[in-house]
This record gives sequence, structure tokens and C-alpha cells, in this order.
Amino acid sequence: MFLKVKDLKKYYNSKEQLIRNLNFSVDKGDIVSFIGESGSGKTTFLKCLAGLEKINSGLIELNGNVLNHKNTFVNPDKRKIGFVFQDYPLFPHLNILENISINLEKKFLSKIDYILNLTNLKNLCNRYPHQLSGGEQQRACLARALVREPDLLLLDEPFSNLDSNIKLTIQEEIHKIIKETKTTTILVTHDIRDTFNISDKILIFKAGILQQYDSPVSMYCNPINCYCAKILGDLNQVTIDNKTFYLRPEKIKLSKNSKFDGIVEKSQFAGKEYKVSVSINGETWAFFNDFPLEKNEKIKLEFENKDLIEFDSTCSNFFTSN
Amino acid sequence: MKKFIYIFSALLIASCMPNKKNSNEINIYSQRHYNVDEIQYENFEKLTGIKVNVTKANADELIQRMKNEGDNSPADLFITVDVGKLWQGGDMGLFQKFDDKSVFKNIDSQLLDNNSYWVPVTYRSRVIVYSNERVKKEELSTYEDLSNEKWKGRLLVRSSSNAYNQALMSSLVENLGSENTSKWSEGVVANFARDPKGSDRDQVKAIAAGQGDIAIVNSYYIGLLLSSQKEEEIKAGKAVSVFFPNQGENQRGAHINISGLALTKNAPNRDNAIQLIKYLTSTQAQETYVKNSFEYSVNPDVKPDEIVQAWGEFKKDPVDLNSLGTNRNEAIRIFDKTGWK
Amino acid sequence: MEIKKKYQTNSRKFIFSTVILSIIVVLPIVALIFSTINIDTSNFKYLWNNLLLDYSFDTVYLVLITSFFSLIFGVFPAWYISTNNFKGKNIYDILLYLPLAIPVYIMAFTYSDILSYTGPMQSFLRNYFPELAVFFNQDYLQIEILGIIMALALYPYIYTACRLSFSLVGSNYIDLSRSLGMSRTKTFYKIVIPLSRVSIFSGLFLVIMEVLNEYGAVKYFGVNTFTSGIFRSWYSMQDVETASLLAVFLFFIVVLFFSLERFFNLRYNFHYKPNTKKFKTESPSNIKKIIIHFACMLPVLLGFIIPILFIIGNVIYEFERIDFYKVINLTSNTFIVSLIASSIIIVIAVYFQFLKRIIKNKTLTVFNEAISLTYALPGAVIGLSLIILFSSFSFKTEVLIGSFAVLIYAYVMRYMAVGISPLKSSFEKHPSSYDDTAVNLGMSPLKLFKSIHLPINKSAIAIAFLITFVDIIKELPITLILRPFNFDTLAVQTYEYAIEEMIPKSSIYSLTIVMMGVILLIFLKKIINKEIDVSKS
Repeated sequence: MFLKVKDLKKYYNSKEQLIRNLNFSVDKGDIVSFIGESGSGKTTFLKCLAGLEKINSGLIELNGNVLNHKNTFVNPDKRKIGFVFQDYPLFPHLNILENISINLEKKFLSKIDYILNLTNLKNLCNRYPHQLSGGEQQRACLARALVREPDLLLLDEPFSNLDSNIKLTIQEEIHKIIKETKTTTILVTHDIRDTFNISDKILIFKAGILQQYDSPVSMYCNPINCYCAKILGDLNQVTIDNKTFYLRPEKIKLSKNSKFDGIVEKSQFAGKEYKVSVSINGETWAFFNDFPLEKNEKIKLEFENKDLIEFDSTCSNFFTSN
Repeated sequence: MKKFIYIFSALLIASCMPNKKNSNEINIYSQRHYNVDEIQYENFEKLTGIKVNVTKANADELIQRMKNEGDNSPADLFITVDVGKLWQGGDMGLFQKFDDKSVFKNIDSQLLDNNSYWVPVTYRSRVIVYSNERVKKEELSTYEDLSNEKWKGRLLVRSSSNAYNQALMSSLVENLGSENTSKWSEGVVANFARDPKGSDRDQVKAIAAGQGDIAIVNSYYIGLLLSSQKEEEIKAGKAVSVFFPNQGENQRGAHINISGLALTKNAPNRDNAIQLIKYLTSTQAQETYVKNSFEYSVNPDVKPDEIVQAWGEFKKDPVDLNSLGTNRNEAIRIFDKTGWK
Repeated sequence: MEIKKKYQTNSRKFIFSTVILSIIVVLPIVALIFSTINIDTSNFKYLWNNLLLDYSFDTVYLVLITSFFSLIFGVFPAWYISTNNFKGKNIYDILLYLPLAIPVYIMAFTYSDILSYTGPMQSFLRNYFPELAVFFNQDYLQIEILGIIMALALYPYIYTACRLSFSLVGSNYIDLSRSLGMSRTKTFYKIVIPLSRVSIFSGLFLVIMEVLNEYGAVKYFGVNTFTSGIFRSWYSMQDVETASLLAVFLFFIVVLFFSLERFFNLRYNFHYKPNTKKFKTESPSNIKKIIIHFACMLPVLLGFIIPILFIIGNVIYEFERIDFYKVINLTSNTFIVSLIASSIIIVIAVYFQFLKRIIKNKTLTVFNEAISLTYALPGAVIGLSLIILFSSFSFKTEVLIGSFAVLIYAYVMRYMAVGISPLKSSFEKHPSSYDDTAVNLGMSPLKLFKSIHLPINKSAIAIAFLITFVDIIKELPITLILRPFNFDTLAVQTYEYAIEEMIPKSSIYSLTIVMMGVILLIFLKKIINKEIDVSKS
């Protein structure tokens, strides 16, 4: 356990509890995605870790050092935590090299070259922030954080401001940079799709509580609750014998012989396949098919029982029509 | 960094000290700042070697300042162009008595302060000037006559906030009583050609421009206009003539006001100040005043400038000049009540 | 209420220092208000019954006229210059700005002379166009004329505000509204003006404050504003108490205006994306060019060229009689005292703005706002309150009255807001993540200030300093009341000659003030232009 967070509570007043009781830990070198809706307290959480905000109670321990516990409070500058803020704040009057090396201890000076190469900024180090693209600015902030060899790296919404066509490339770049430096990282985002493929673990956060904390695969296949399930992917609500189950669309296939009869509502083009919505017994199921189906066509669907997921009754509240 | 703070603090503290007093100088709080005053001080310095420091401001401001400075005031002399302010300073206890007979023997006794607080150096009259084209001398008589309807829309005068008007009003209160003066003021306000604005000279220019026919102004302004460097101002001065009111047999005479000075209560350079008083009332200085500012000398033997002489001699209202101070608040109230802005 | 602080140990010290500084700046006003609590109300009743109505009417009327013309002179040229490309644009840009170098009272005295019966305009007409001369023979000392003259001196406040705002509003919105079918004119009235409301109102606020503060010009033109009422009670009637009451009254009116401005700011400050691409300017048609030239030339001609020529004419006329030694002496007096006061103001203002960033505390914000309030007070009131303050202590602090320290104290009180304003917008422009990053990277507050905030706010600091400096060299009422012995400034000397109807003699002093102002303003303009360009790129 490289980072340990125990019983963390954070609130501004007793009515609005931002973080109720957070418990989790991170292994060294892992990348953890912290998923939550806008305004749920994700940025505040990062700031608590970094010491930029105070917690009401709890323990934060990093690399064996207690950062925050009862009367202990380690100042932000002593925590060895790197922080990349959402707006990529580079100081406008300094060039990239100066930004990266600002307030840098002597022992890290030799690392600058390595970091510049790693983040592909070698040719840009004499430019000024306003001359860089969004992605380049982000890499510069990253370089600034990493050159100090932090124990923990915090990224606040790193992909929200990027164009979708370059998101994938940038995700891979960042993944490569972080893994190369073996830095333990927590990144915060509201959209899991941004970090699905680069996270070692995912932490889903809602209503001040940790909902589930697991590897992406486990979470996808065995979501603890409905909310988590929906976050990670599409979900169908299916009623069989008066019991409610949940089923991923990709687990449903066209069938010749099956007791599930339905009428096609619409087929939506989705690039490599079609997403087909089917009306069955008053419900709408969605599944993927190679070719489109005609509206009002009668079809049969099948799936395997082991793929059915069961949750408690409150799950239906999370459902909206697809 | 620390050094900078020390130096800065030292400078700050130093700047808190009021100016040091030098042994051979006088400090004057003066409302007057005509050229002639500078000439007088220069001549005095050449003669005596005493340096004259002058702070110029409005008389009211200066009085406030002296009041606030109290015993520590660095001022030796207070000079102003309105006897009302001199009376006020005396009344507030800002001055010490000055009673030197050798100085007073050269001064017209009618102009002296019976409380011995102030000394006059020049005087002038607040006269009526009239358009040469549109008014005949015979139409004019007294100040009281100015409220007569025949002057409706023809009378020009400056604002009541000016001390010269306030002094005139005070003399009327003293001579006619509050009620009569109030009625008079109503009549005068009804005769205004326009709302009071501008300076005395502006009233004369307005007559020349045809915006009014008569105006109440201080006598020396006519002299200043006639000797102006600007052609247009000379023309304006020539467009009017000077009339001294209340000159009839049983009438009291024209209203006058003085420029004068007073010795402050705790004058640090008292002896030097007295020397200046003596100088300014001497024949030499009086002649300098008369030739440069078109005022009348307080010394009956010193003749006024030629331009002024051309207006003729006149009877002066003998009312106690201090009354121009004691009636001041009443005068202002009358102004406000009757709408003389 | 949790105090969010990033710098643990020092925040208490910082907050304490801020409170002390604020109290010092605001104390005289508090003394003034306190002095009015126990006064005899009969004086006030007298005032109320006789004069208050007149004062209020004149004041409001003058404010309205001046505001109206300031808007006309300021808004249209700003729009034309921001959106059009034409020859001479850059020269206009600077010239339109320069009337700020001419103090209001100088503008008033100059024009009253120019327009008077014996002045150049009417004399010229009488000599060459006698029939016209009769028509122009009017009494120009009217409140309406004063309003226009004051507008000519004050419109640059609005011009500057609009210039900045119009270029920031940007082509995005203009293109958008055009694509929706709106003509340029409609775009102007329906989109650009509302979006610029805040800036326009801020500029207008400054104009109104100056009108309320004005002493010399108003008195000469026979206009009875509140300020002249204060002087009348104080000086003519020796009635300090009524004067104080009027001053407090005026103070609360100004606080009202001030709150309106803040409210406006908060409610209508649209945080639109500033212009990201270079502003697309139009090349106007010939007809349009004529309109533009007319709109821009008029304020320049009336507000700067004519007064300056007149003043220079007087100076040439008086040339042999000028005491150059005195001019140099007064110039250095003016320069030194403005330099000291401006420096103090900037240091305090920067300190406050910096603290505001690193310590989030409601009390701090309140004090921050409070020290800007003293701008609202007319200089005369500030002078009065300082005299009251120093007379009310039991130990002999009256001696301080008449020393440099008190004079500078008064300047600081009066012009603090002027220094704060540009700094505020600059400091607030930068995201708070700068400070968070700095903490995270281990920078101490001092280092954060020196390496980050000082450099990135450099232009704003220079702008604030220059604006404050120019305002102080023009200052009149405070200097008249509080200056030390034998210490005159250029402004005081100008006023004294002018009020004694010796305007030609006053001209060399006016000219020096104006020249100093012009040089500084041109310098200032260059800095501002750089700022606009940088924020555009």
C-alpha cells in the first residue's frame, strides 16, 4: 500500500457532506481513475490529498509517511505530490523550460533533459505557453510535475478539454509517460471512457461514498451496483418471470429458436455495427448486430443466463430510456 | 531590503515635522496675491534683509487652519481683502492687539479698528457701474434704489458667496436693519438680468455685451480693465462709467471695504512682523499699492492713481467696519432667504 | 466559516496587517461621521428648508448633462476605432485620450475665457462677421455649457473603458449576430452595448465622481452643487457641523452609487471568452469615413486641441514675464509629492490584491472594498475629515496638520481606488490554479509574489501607477487645504491666478501640468496597447 486513505471525511457544513468516509489504498506504480459526476467533490478530494485543502478527519499516508492525521498536517510543499490542474496553468511570462524548472531543487536539474525527451517537448522548450496547443501545454504541466520525482501524481480532468480525435493519442502518450517513470497516479474524471484503457484500477465515487473500487475488467463484468454498471457501459433492464435482471447489450444475439420474441423499433448505425432497439414484453432491449434490421420486423433474441446481473430494487431509479 | 525600510521610515518621520523656523523671517497667511504684493515683499526684503514667506489661500481656509494649529501656528501675520474676516479672526481669538500710535497717525481714523486687532493697508469702494450707452447718470442714486422696478432685468452682480457682496449686505443690515435689508434684497433679486455668476469683471463685460445695464462691482476692477494688456478688456472698461452711491447731502456715503492685516496671537517673529506692518503703511509702500492695484491709500495724503482720480472724490460710509463682520451671518441668511444665489 | 488558507503560519499576520492598513485609510471618514452624531439639528433644518433642494437639483442636473455628453464623446469614437481600419486611426486613438491631462477646472476657465465677450471667439466675430457676432453674444456661464465642458474633460474615462471592452467582445459575437441577419448598427445597440454595460458603467462612475468632486469650475459657473454647499457652510458660515452633515450625506449618496456599480458588475459581468482571433476590422466606405472622422475629430478638437492652443497662446503672450525659477520649483514640488503618494498607493494596492489571492477571507474582502470608498469623497471633504481627525486627539497632533505626511495621507485616501482598479482586473484575470500550483511546487508567498505575480501583472502595475500619478498632479482642493507652508503645486498656482481673473498668468502652470500629463498618458497608452495585443494572441 503505497497510498493509504482511511476514514477520510470532508464537509463544509454538517448538511452537505462532500466526502463521507473514504477508505482505499493504491499500490505503487498503479494508475487509478477516480470517477465522479461534476461537482461531486473529486477536485476537492485531490486538493485534500495535496494538502491544499484541509480534511475534517481521517488519515492520509503516502510512502510510509503520515501526511494528515489528527494533529499532524504536512505542508503541501513537503508532500512530494505532483499536481496537474484542469486548466494546465503554465506561467505565461516564462517559457516552457523555465516553467518546468521553476523552484526546482538542484538534485533534479539533471533530470530535465530526460523528462523533456520523454514528454516530447525538447523542441518547444523555448516557446511560451500561449504558443503551444492544449495537448502540448498539458505535457508541459506533466513534465513540470514529474521532473520532481513525486511519490504521487494527481491529474484533474486531464482529457476533458481535448478534441476527441486526439484524445486517444494523448491518453496513450500520458500512459506511456507515467508508466515509464513508474509514478503512482490518481486521475480524476467524469467520463470513464477517457481512462478505461489506461487505468489499473477504477474508483467510482458518488454521494460522498466509494461505490466500487476494482480493476476495469472486474468492474465491467461484476459491477457492485446498478450505478457502477451503467457508468461502465450500456445496460439493459430485462424482466424474466417477474424478476428484474440486467444484461449487457453485447451479450444478446439474434436467435432462431428462443422464447424471447420482439419487434424491432429502430436500428442505429454505429460504425462497425448497428445498435438495434427491440421491443419485448413492454421493455426495450438493445443489442448489436452486423447488419441493420427493418423496423417492425419480428425477431428472436437469446443470451446466456450466466450473463444476467442482479441488483437490488433501487436500481430501476437509475434507468432512463436509451 | 531592511535598509530601505529604515531610510523610508526616517524620511516619513522627517516629513511629519512642520517646517523649521528661521530666525530672520516672517510667515504670512495671505489671501492677497496680486503682483503688487510680491513687489512689496521684495522691496521689504531688500530694505531689511528679512525673508517673507507667504502661504496663499482663501481667507476662510486660512482662518480654519489657524484655528486648528492653535498655539503652534507658525503664522505671524494674517492678510486679507475683507474686513469681515479680520473681525472674525479677532473674535475667534486668533490675533493679538496692535496699538502702535506712530503707525496709526498716518492712517485715516475712520478706517481704524476700535478693537485694535487689525490694521488697514488699502481700501476701495463697492460701486455701481453703468452702461454709457443705455443709462444716464441721473437715473442712479443709492444702493436702496437698486430694488426699484425700473431696473428690472437690467442688474448684474456676482454670487452671494463672495465676501465683497456679503460685506455690502452686512453694511446695509447695520444701516437699515434686517427687515428693510431683506425687502431690499428681494427687490434686487427680482431685477437680476441673469443668475449671479462669474467675477466682478465678468459683470462689466456682460454690460459691454449688452446683457445688462448696471452692475455692482469693486472700484479697482475698472482700473484693472482699463489698464489691461488685452484690447478687448480695455474696450469693455471704457463702455461703462463709475458711480458712487449715496453721495447726496443727507446720505451716508458709499460702502467701502479694506485690505488689512492682523498680528497673530502667538506670532513667533513678532518684531519682524511689526516692521512689515510699519513698512506697508509707509508712504513709499502706499504709493506702490495705489499705482499698481488701483485701490485707495489709507493715508489721506497719498493720492490715488490718475485713472481712479478721474472718477472723482466720494463720501465714505462711516459705519464701524467691524460691523461688516458682526452682521455677516445675518447677511448670508438674508441672501439665502431671498434667493440671491 | 472555514478560512481557506494555503500558507498556514503567516495568514494571521497578513490579515492583521490588512485590517490595520484599511483602518488607517478609512479612519478620517469614521471621524467625520462620528463628529456629526451630536450636532445641533437647527442648522440642518435651515439647510433643508432653504438650500438642499437647490443643491440636489443642480447636482443631479449637472451630473446628467455631463454623463450624457461624456457618453456621446466617448462611446462612438471608441466603437468606430475598434471596428474600423482607416488612415489616422492610431493617431486618433492617442489624441482621444489626452483631454485627461487637462484638469476640469482648467478646461472650465479656459473655455469661459474663450467664449466670453472679450475672448477670442466673439472678438474675432465682431471684427469680421458682425452679424454673426450678435448671435454668438450669449451668456455662456450656464450649467448646460458647464456640463459639456466637463464632459470634454472627462469623456476619456468612458472612451478607455469602451475601447478595452469593445476589442474584447470580439468578432465571435459580431459575426454571430451578423449571421443572424442583424445590421452593424443593430449589432451595436443590441449586442455590443449590453455586453459592455459593465465597462461603460465603470467609466461613467468615474465621471460622476469627478463631477461631484469639482470645486473651482462649479463655483465659477454659478452652479450650486453639494460640494459648493459644503464649502459655503464650512467657510462662509464657519459652520463646520452643517458642512460635516452635508459631507456625510454626500458620502452616503456616493456609497449608493458605489454599491450600484458593484451590483452591476456582479450581475452583468458576462464572462465571455475574450477575443481569440485578431479583430476583423472593416474598411469603411467614403461616406462612413466622413462620419467617423467627424465623430472622432470633434472631441479631440474641442477637448484638447483648442484648449491647448489657447493656453499656449497665453504662454507666448506672457513669455517675458514668466518666472521660470518658480515654474521649475513648483514642477519639482508637484512631481515629488505625486511620486511619493502614487508609490504608497501602488504598494498598498498590490499588497491587498496579492493577499486576496492567497487568503480567502470574507473580512479581508470587506476591507478591500472599504478602502476604495474614500475615492468617492470630494477632496474638500477628505481635507475636512483629516483636520477633524487630527484635532480630536488629546495629544498635540494638530501640529501634523500642515506637514507633508498629512498631505500625502490625504492623497492616498483619495486616490487609492484609482490605483486599485486596474490592478484588480489584472490580478483577478489570472486563474487561482497559479497559486495552487505555486504552493504545490513549494514556493513561499514571497517567492510566489516576486517570481509570478509581480511579472505577470507588470503592465497593470505600471498602468495603475501612471493613472494615479496623473490624477494627483491635477489635484486641487486637498492641496489647497492641507499643503505645508510655502509649498505650492502647479495646480494650486494655476487655480490662484485663474480665480483672480489672471488667466494668462496661470497658463504656463496649466501648460506644464498638461504637458506632464500628455507625456505620461502617451506612455500609458503604449503599455495598454501592448496588453490588448497580448490578450488577443
